[in-house]
Amino acid sequence: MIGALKKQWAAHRLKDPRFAMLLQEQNEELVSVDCETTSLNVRDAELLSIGAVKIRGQRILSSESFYVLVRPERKPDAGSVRIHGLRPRDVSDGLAPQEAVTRLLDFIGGRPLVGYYLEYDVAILNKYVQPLTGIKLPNRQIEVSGRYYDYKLRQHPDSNVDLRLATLVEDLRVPALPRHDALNDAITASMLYLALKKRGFG
Amino acid sequence: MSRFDFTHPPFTHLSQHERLALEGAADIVFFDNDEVIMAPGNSVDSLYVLIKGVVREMADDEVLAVYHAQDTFDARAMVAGVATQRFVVHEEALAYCLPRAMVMQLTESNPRFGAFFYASVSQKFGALAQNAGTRELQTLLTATVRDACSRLPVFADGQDSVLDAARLMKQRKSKSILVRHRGQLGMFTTTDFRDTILNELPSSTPLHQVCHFNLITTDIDGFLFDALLTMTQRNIRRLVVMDQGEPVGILAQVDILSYFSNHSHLIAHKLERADTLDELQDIAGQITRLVGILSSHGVKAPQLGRLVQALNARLFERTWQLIALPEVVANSCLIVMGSEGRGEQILKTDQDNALIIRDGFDHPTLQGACQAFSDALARFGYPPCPGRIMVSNPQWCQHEQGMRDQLYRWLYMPDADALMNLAIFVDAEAVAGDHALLAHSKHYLNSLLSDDESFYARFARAIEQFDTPLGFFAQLLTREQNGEATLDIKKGGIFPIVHGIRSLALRHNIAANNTFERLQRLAENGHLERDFANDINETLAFLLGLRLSHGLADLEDGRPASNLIRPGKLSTLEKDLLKDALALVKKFKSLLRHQFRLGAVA
Repeated sequence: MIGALKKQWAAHRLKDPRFAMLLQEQNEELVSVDCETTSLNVRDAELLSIGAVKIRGQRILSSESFYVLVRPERKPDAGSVRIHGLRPRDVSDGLAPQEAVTRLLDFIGGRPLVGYYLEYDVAILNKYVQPLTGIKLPNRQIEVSGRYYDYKLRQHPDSNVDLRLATLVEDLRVPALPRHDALNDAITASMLYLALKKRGFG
Repeated sequence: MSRFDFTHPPFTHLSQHERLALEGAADIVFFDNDEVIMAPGNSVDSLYVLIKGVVREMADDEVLAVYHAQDTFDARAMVAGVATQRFVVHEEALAYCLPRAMVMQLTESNPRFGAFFYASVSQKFGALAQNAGTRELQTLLTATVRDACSRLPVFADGQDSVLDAARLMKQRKSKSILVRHRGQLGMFTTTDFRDTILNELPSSTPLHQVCHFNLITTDIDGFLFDALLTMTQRNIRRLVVMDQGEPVGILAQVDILSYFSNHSHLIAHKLERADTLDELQDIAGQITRLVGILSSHGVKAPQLGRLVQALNARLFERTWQLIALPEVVANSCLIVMGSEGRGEQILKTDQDNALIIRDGFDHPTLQGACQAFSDALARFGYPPCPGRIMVSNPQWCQHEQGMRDQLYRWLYMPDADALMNLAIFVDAEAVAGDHALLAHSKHYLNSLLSDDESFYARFARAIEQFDTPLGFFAQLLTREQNGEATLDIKKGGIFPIVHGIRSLALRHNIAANNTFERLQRLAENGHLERDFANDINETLAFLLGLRLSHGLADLEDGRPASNLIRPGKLSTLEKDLLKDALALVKKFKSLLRHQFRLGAVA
């Protein structure tokens, strides 16, 4: 009921009919998404790259993956370059953020989103999505670390759950891909999701 | 940006560009425990590369192969487009799923990848056929163009335009067409098509102006080897196949590669042609690599053993022929013994060989030749036998009479090594020279063997030398070595079976050398129960396979292949199979104890 109302409200606020597909929920597929940014502070952070990949059933469609580099308005600071390895010159040929996000929205459509600390990525994306469409990302969000927390709590009801990515990767026995590449991180999150789904926490 | 490493065969043969393209086209699939990835009759549109987890290949309830991370399956099903075996997930599996069309295209555009790839396919076919070894060698030397050529030619007229040709090629999915023009025959290929564009010729250009007429042909009954040789020498990819002066087909390089595929054919061919020890040394190295390739594609240890035996026999024969003078070769018999004679020696370990010389023949070069032969083998990577069972040792380089005296002494005046020497000799197989000399010696040995049951008991007793490392509660008994738990699979499992079967074969006068063959004959003659013989057969095949995969891993790490396996590295499934295998070894030992009354031997 509330959901339907929210949707109506969002449809009303939507500026551009091009983005109406965001409101048509498609549940046959999911999209795992990850962003690399100039900072970890949502207020200052600018996009550097976006990686996304669709999940259909048990299959990660890495053959149709989405990866773009984004040209930030300010130079990335030295500290963040060390993490993601994208130097100013690497992203200087990137897309304008609005263009990158528009393409991403095309890719996502009405599919639910999957990610590790997805809240952060969605908050960054919304900085661009809202001015563009008039609404925040309306897609259902599946937080991998949250599902993992539920799974561990079911196993040991009164334990502290370690939610670091390395712990999840090891515990759920998915391969460790080179980190801090947006597409690799999106694929890692997909594999974590499939491993959790198999354990009944999808 | 590469996510998963493609640094394992067959992908090592791809260029960086091709790897990236393949990775870009690949999906990742997750399979749950016990999920069936494909079953007989399913259509197959992808090749799987395991990223993590374990997958079993099954025929009914029998496990045919176990796949781990980096293993590829199933090449054969992918080429055929339909699965013939069941692939079941043993432990949560994450796999790369490579599209069939792309892999097939790579096998065409990259001949080395293609060769490797088809090697695995046709080997799998070969492995299914029993006693692949020797039979395969015969077929390949006699294979003709007719066996491999399956492409029907597409014909066009010389007056047709390039545009017509393009339409025809698309319609018939052909990369080349034959052009008939005023009684001449020409060929037009995609390469010519490219040149037509580059030369800015109009698409209405008649074909006879752009095709080439100096065609290189091969006869349909010609040997496939010669066709391959022609292609290599002329650096071309296709030959026109002629039957009584009429073009009947196109033979592409990839057809030949897919037919020969397994380098075993090529190795055999090279062996026939080698003229120097250096060449032979090179080939000896290739045999080890071949074993690695075939083993990684699921060829079973018993079949591999027979194949390697056939190749080694030719290698030894050729070496002996290069070293010894023709009259020496003609008046002697070079034999291999022990596991080499049984056809169960897959990786190179010790030399076990001997020479029987015709009575009355002598030659001043004989001693030198024997020494040179042992040295050459050592150079090829067969280390000298610690027990010095090799032709350079006078005890194993004897005239017929000397060998007879020796056999007599071993039987009736045994010293410490006599029974072991006898056991090794029982497995002897002739590889070069006059094979009759060995047959005579074996005949003499049989005539000496009487109904003296106490001899057979003494002979069989060696099975008690080592304990089988399986505890009362079916736990694996291991020893620490360099901080790692290890288990000697030869002493604990392979030797008791091989020697037990050898004892039974000797007792019942069965001439075969190979343990699997001996088993079959023992069962046929009612000396062993059929079901029990089958169990022993499977157990030995499993143990040999396990020793092989560990030996290959040893070689890869730069260590010599040993008989020690590390149970910690086995999967749960393999550990269970190993326990079952050792339990059967124990059962077999107690049966032998009963049959030979070992308890009664002093």
